[in-house]
Amino acid sequence: MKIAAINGSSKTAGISALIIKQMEKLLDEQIEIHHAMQLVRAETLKEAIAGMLEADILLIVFPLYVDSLPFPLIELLTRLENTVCHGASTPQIFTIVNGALDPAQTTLALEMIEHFTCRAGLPWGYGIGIGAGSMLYNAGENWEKGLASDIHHALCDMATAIEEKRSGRNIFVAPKFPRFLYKTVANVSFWREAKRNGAGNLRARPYMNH
Amino acid sequence: MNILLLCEWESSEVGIQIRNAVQDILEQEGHHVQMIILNSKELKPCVACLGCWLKTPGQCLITDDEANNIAFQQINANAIMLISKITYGGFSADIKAFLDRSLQNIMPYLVNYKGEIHHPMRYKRFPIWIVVGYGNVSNAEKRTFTILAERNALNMRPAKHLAVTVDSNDELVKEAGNILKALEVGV
Repeated sequence: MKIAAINGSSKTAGISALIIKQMEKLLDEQIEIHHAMQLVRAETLKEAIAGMLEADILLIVFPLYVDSLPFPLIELLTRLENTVCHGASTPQIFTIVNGALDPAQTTLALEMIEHFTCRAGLPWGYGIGIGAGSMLYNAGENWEKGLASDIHHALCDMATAIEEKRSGRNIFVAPKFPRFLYKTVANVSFWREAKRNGAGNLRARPYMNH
Repeated sequence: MNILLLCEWESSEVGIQIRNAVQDILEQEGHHVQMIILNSKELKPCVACLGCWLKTPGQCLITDDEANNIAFQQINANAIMLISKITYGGFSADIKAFLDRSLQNIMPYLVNYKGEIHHPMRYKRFPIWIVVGYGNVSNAEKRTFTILAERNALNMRPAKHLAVTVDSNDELVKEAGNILKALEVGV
């Protein structure tokens, strides 16, 4: 089975990359990874898209940006849609979005990938919406136990669905971490990081002209 | 009222007709309209460095394009109108290229807002937010687009917001009354 993945993150070693690595482990298959941000301006775009369309599975993994898809991913999907040869064999699409604290906030982004599959005529698998994705930096290599265990289970189910080429319903999941604590930890870490940077007033209003 | 009209560089004929019609409708009502054409090939992508929150609060660290200037104009307008081809139920790449970089106009901290966790506003007020999505797309895509505009409003908290989806310029003209009504507050 050939599996390709689009990493829609601006970071090549961010949470989306970690998620793809976990999927690679669960599927026990090497995944051909394409970085949307690098690819949309690359001369190799056409070849890369051809490679994605030859795959059996295309996994689209990305962070939530302003409630939806980062713009290089939108651009890449548009190019992909315009390249699909109807009638030819096409990859089934699965997607994983990592977003803000509440996993339900990824609902629209998952819908958008599904709309893309409808427009491009590609078979839709399903999506996972992950809340508090940034917590996964602290999950270590093994996600089976602890903080990321629920996410691990969701990824296991997706790996099985991929192997069986099944479709399903979107799943929403978050690391096991209390909500109030997440908020507190995030706010303290913002403050600390800003202090380390000598950023001054985080509430600055540099554009106020009135 | 000063209205910032943000449009796409890569626009179809219908898109150009719609943006011209919007400009005419607004100017006929006496509004001052500034149109900016956004080009995703000229705007650098947001690299999620959080520098606009934690290094130079309120300003993006990428300074060799127009995003900071547009973010400045965004805050100082009375209203913002986005005209976007509905793309998979969301904004087109040209429009989204700027929205990704407009993170600088909200604050880093997390707060509870309407039962969810969101970021606080950076400025005391955010301009009226009107979004016009166009294109021959499914009702499901139109629905996603409308909800997306609502979600964006939860983050930016404008005095008022409106999302309109249209197939053609004729439909846009029919929506003119609603658009002008949305502009009635916050002058």
